[in-house]
Amino acid sequence: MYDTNCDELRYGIDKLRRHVRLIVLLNAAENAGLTPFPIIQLHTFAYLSNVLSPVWDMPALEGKVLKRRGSPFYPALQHDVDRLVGMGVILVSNISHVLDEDQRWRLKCSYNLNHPFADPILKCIKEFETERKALNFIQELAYALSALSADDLGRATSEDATYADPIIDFDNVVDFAEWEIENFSANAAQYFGHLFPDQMTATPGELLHLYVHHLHSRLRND
Amino acid sequence: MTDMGQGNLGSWSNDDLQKTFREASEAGADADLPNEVRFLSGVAKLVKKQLVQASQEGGSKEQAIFLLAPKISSTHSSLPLKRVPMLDNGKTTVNGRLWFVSPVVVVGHYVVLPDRDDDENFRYITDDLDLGGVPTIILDPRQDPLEFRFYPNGLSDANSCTLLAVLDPDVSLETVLDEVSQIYERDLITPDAQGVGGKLWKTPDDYIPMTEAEVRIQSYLKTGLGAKFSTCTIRTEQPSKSGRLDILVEEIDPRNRGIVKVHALLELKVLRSYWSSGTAVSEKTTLDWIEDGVIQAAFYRDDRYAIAAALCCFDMRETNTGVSCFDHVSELADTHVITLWVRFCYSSSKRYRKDQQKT
Repeated sequence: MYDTNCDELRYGIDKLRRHVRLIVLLNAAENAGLTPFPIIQLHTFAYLSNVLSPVWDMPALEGKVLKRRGSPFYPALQHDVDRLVGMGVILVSNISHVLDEDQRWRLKCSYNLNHPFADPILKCIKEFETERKALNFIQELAYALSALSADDLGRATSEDATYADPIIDFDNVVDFAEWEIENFSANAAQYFGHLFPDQMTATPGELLHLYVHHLHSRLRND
Repeated sequence: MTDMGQGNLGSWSNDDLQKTFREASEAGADADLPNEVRFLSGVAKLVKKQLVQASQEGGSKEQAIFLLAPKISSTHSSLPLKRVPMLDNGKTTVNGRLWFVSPVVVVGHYVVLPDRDDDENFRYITDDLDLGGVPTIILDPRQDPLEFRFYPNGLSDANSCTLLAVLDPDVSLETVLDEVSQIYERDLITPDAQGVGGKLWKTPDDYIPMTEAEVRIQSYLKTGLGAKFSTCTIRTEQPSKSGRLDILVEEIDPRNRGIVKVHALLELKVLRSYWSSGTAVSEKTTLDWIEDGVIQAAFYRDDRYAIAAALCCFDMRETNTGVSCFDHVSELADTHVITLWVRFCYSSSKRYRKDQQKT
């Protein structure tokens, strides 16, 4: 009975944490001028916020993802989005369907926050130091990603150091923080820190922007 | 690929990353600063980069107007906006356009500015677009030398305007210390001047400063210096061979971020009568503290190839001794060419007023 309660509590906290993360992601995207935010870009943003979290000295919310032919897709995150749409916290627009790279029909739409409902949640989030730190990290990542065109952001993971690792085949798990400790993307971002002259210490923000700038260069050259 | 013990980069190459590093802007270095300061700094660095790259082409005489309005495509969807990703590379002409950007100027939307006079442009922004309340920067190439006009409250409050030099701003230890003095007068001189989240006093009646008073002063200075010297990057808490230095005012070559000019280095000290526990601080401790500051400033300056350095003391003691607190180090400071600067932080506005009446 005790264990069951603990499990339920942990499940509830995890779910709440995922919901909070989604609201933070969409708020950051809006502040960076990226909304309404298309579904593929939202999942890509969520993935990058996980894989680059060590740059901001934060743990990943999800340390692994199934590698698909297109961009990453988190079924649990999508379920949470749907729940938040139902609760009126997220608004949905531009709805249609597309055939994806795996020849499956998928929903295509864009999201943005419904502020009368989302703002009190954001206000509450800012009262927690850990969440404030996450909020600052995700906001800076959103600013960095806003430098990409919508198309480039949608296919950014095709050049990401971790997701595009040729050793991992499609339909296998890309693990960067669950069992594996190697995270090529965070390593690459942190590598930029060694290039600053005269022992200068780069800020985490600079490392994020440099990583995204490099993603852009790779996307342009492919 | 692994390099010199650094993390594994998978299939990525170190060489490619070095190329990106040289080409990229300094975006993200100021992530802890207020949005208005980031906006000003981002536009200043972009324009400087663009002007340096376009210098051979003669340059345009048309205005460029920047509005801090990142959500423009949602709020004004009928505008014929053109989006420019990677705006911070300086390769896109900014003149003759009305730009809508976020605090981090890495992307922008623009509309072409029709051939109108200044008043019509102002009215277009304040009345037609209803964006008279957002921070705005106007770059007017008809001015010589080239200057920015920064309207922090937007064009509806056109009287609140700051003029800033673009290409050759006067950044020297003297101008940096002038700005530090202004920040002191505006934000630090009394407890009432300090923001709610940036109080320096733990119990002002007992002359006890906060433990983190120095960190808070550093934060005030970083924001103020960032706003004043918008083409510079203000770095704090940088590691050095001989410790952690407090503040660096540096400027990166717009053509290659690997080339950095360090204009000034500031070593900060808070002089106290009491520790935060209430225990008294001896005079010898204070004198040693100041002497250490002079030596640290000299070491850090040489370590970072800074042009000049200063020891800045914020005196939070019971008694204001003025510059006499430096009597024992004046020779040492001369030898090491370190400028000495001190200001008294009053524990109450009442005490400040009393002192002002005496003078």
